[in-house]
Amino acid sequence: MPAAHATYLDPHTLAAIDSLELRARMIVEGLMAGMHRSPYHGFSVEFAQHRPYAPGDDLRHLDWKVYGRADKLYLKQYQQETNLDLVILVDASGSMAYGSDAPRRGKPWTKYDHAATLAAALSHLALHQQDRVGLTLFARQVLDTTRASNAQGHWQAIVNALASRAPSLKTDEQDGADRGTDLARLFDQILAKLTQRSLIVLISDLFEDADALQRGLARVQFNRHDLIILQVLDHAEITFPFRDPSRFVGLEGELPVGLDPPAWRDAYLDSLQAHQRGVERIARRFRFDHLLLDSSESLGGPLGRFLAYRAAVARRGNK
Amino acid sequence: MHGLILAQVGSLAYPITAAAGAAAITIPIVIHLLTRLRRRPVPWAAMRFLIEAQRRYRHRRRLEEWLLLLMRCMIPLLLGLALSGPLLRGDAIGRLFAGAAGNAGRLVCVVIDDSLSTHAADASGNTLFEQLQDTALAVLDGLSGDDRLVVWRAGRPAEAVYALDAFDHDAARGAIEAMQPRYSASDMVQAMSLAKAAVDQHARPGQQAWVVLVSDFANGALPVERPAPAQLLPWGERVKLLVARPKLTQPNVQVSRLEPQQTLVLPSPLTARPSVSVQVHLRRFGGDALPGTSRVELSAYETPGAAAIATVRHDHRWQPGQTEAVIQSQVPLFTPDDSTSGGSWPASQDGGRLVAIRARLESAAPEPGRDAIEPDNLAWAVVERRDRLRVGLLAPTDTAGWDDQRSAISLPPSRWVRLALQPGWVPSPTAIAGAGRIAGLIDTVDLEPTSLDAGAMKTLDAVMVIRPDLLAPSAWVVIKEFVERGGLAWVFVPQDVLPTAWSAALRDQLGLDWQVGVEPRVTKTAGRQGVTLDTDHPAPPSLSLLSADWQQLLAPVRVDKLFDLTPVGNAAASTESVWLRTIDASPLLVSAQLGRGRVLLWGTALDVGWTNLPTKPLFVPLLHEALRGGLTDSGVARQGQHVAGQAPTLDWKWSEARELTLDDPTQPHALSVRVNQTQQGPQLVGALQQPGIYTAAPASTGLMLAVNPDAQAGDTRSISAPGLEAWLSSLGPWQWLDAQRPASALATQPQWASLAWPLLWVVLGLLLCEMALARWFSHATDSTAWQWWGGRLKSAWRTLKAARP
Repeated sequence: MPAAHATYLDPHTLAAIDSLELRARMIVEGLMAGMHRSPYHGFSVEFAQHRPYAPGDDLRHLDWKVYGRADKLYLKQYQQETNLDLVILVDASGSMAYGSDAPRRGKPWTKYDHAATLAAALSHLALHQQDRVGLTLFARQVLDTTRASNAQGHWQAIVNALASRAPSLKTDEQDGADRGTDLARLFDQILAKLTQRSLIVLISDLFEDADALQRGLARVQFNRHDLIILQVLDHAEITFPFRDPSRFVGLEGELPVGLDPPAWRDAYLDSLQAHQRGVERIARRFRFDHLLLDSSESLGGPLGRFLAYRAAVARRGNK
Repeated sequence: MHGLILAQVGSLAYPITAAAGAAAITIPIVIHLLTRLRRRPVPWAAMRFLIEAQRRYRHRRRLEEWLLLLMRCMIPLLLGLALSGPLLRGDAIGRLFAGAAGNAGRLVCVVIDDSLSTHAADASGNTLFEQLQDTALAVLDGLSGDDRLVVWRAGRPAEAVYALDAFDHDAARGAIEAMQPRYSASDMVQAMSLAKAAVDQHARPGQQAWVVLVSDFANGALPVERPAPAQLLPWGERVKLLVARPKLTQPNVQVSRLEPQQTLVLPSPLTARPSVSVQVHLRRFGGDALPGTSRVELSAYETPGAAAIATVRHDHRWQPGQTEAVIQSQVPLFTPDDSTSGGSWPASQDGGRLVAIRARLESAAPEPGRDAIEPDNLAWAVVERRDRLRVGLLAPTDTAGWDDQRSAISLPPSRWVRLALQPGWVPSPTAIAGAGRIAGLIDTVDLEPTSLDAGAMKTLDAVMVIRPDLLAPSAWVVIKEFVERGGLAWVFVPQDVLPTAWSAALRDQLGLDWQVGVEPRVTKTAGRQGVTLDTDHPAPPSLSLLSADWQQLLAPVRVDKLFDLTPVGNAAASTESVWLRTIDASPLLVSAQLGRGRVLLWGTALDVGWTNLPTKPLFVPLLHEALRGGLTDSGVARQGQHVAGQAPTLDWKWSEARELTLDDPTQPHALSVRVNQTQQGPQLVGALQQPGIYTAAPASTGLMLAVNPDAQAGDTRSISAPGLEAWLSSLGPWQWLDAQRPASALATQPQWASLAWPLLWVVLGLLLCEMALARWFSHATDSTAWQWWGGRLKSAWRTLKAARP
């Protein structure tokens, strides 16, 4: 699918990401050796650092050369490089079909477009490092799943899946009833299939109850997986810029609401910010990273800054 | 009614514009409805946050919408009203802002004279009071709506008629129209004092005050011959005085006084038929005292409102220049058909019965219009008819029988007195004319001097103090109270006892102005008889019945021994006070008024060793006539009459009365005044205003009270204008009330003020408020209001455009 390939491998986006290394804050145990570091400082492959000897340490790991030169006892520590299982969860619910940005090629740039681009970029980067990448598209239930793999051509399969499941802009109440999300149920289904610790990337607008999100994240942490939450919101959803009296029609089966937007802007933003604070609080509680992305902004800048931040956190964790 | 009120408050120059403004209210409402109906559908993902925001702020947003809608409706309405040229009366504006300013309007006190003189009627029958009422009502026409008003009546006692201190002038008008003239004198000074106090109390700083005197200014209305009383000074510079001009003098004839010569009427000893002697005083004012005839009708009534017992008439012909006259008459207290003694009258508990005497001026003048005031042609009095008297003998009990006496001439004094008061044993009925009948008129009661109390005296008419030397000081107090209530005390000098102690008690305890000599003076010497009585000394009025035989009765009496009686202080030895005296001018029987009663003091002992009086013919008629005259003379008679406008002082006889009722057949309802029984005695609640005979309830008390118009207030001659002007000028600035247009002095021209500009300012304020509130409620972020309004208009335009088919 050349069109999808062109869309999701936007040169600007890939150039921004290609200059960085994907680092996970917590190095998961992998099957393949690669650029990612194990969360455990082992003794097998690569020297990591010295540390002073402490009574009780295994004498086999003493660095005798240092002892000979400096007359001090130091232990050698090693890093075991592992392969990464990257599981990307992309929200394909009705709300992700919303987009207020200037239309590109006749249609607006939706949140799903943004999320799919991001998922494609991440998967490309991971595959480039020989990491295994899996993809799951979900709404109220799992819509499509691509198993984790680092085989050649796998990225193309991911891109195809992303392109084929794009949600449409439907405002029908009957049809929209199943277009919401259920994160708790999603994580139940996903975690049941993961056999080893993975880095899970959740790309969604998170229009979900905080309790459901909390239950889902609790499962992830219980299974010792790492999670990165990439929340994608449209710029209109963040600023609510409407002025004319309008009748707002929901994309997930909600009843229409007629109101004067300027009069309700503050109230809406209050409600939204309260929700955002709840999301951040939950993510912080489980020590998962959370990044809010404005779909109207460039994808490369925020993603690059986020990956740099992850790398810095990972390095601090190794020290 | 409401339209009339609106018309009084304001008007509109262009009502159509106001109607258009009212119709324009629909514009914001329509826009509001269109905006609700024509909302553009917008697909939206974050519906959950909108729904939650709506759930939390729905009521507040609705309130804001309604407030804005109300303001947007008010703007065209007020704009239309402002452009319609609204006009508001100045007084209404003043009333509107009275609360803020605090001194808007004026304080107006109207004093209306409703005294007896205002009853004066002209030839057409219109009274002066009606004219004064019209003047007062005309003055009210000049007041503006924010003037506060107090109305006083000046007829004694002066009091407020309308003192609500409010703006309800209609209520004040109703109160004035409901006023009726009184029968009392004018107390204009007191009314002015009350008005001044009202001004001092209610007028706010800087507020103008007016006092309007509406009076006929008849003689006595104001004491112009004396300086203004202190309570009216200083009158105050901010108080303006408006005075109605004095009315013209009208001739008037009145019964100024009705005086029964006795209040206690006993059957005549000669005819056994009771009658009362009365004096009718007539007086006339104005009319140049032309000759004419007045007829006075005198009637006696057993009960008020019933038929007269008897009626007599007297004519008096006025001489030119004569202004006062007295008619003496005898009013029978029995019907012409009553051939009996009249003893069949029902008696009250003390054996008496009150009779009302009425004097009515029937024909006041030879031609109509010469008697302006009708109510003062009538006068009432009350007398008590009594069939028997009860006399107490204050002496040691006389238990001796006739057989114990050695002879008749050695009887003790108490026995002499008893025999004189009850001479039924007198063998020859011809010895004293009518003695047999007299014997039935007096009952005697023995009283012990050492244990005298007030209870024993309650049913007595007189007491004979035969042994004053035996009385305790408390007994003198009892006797004093008895006399002050109207009783008669006759003090005799005991033989063989020097009067040192009891003479001092007479003076100190009883307050008698006569002093008894220290020792008796013996006038009988060897070979010479005692002194005789002065037969040239005329009989006192109370003994007038004996005057025909006065000298013959006095001639045989000799006095051998007596105490000198000398007046003390202001007491004069006049004929009225000295009833009997000896030939050497020594007072032998003196009389003194004490309260409503009388004290008689006898200067010699009732003993044949001192005088032969007990054995002489004078003794019995002297005691009887002295009792009759002492109890019923004119000095006591005036006590039963009262003047309208006053609260009479009631004595102990009224201790069982609950109320006084005037049963006036000309009135639809009987007028009742409550009697309060207090520790100080019975007291009336309020003054008695209506003249007539008031009967006490319960009827068993048998009490009546006569109330007459204040005759002094019937002087219809006007106060001299120069005197009145000088008196008023001493108070401060004043001016006459315009007789033709009384309202002119107080009238204020209605000032119409345009409300257009205030309303336009209000509209502008509403606009600014609407913009600010709309921006605040909608959290608009436009830099200027014009941008915001432009956006609103564009939105409305788009809405209307979308609504077009």
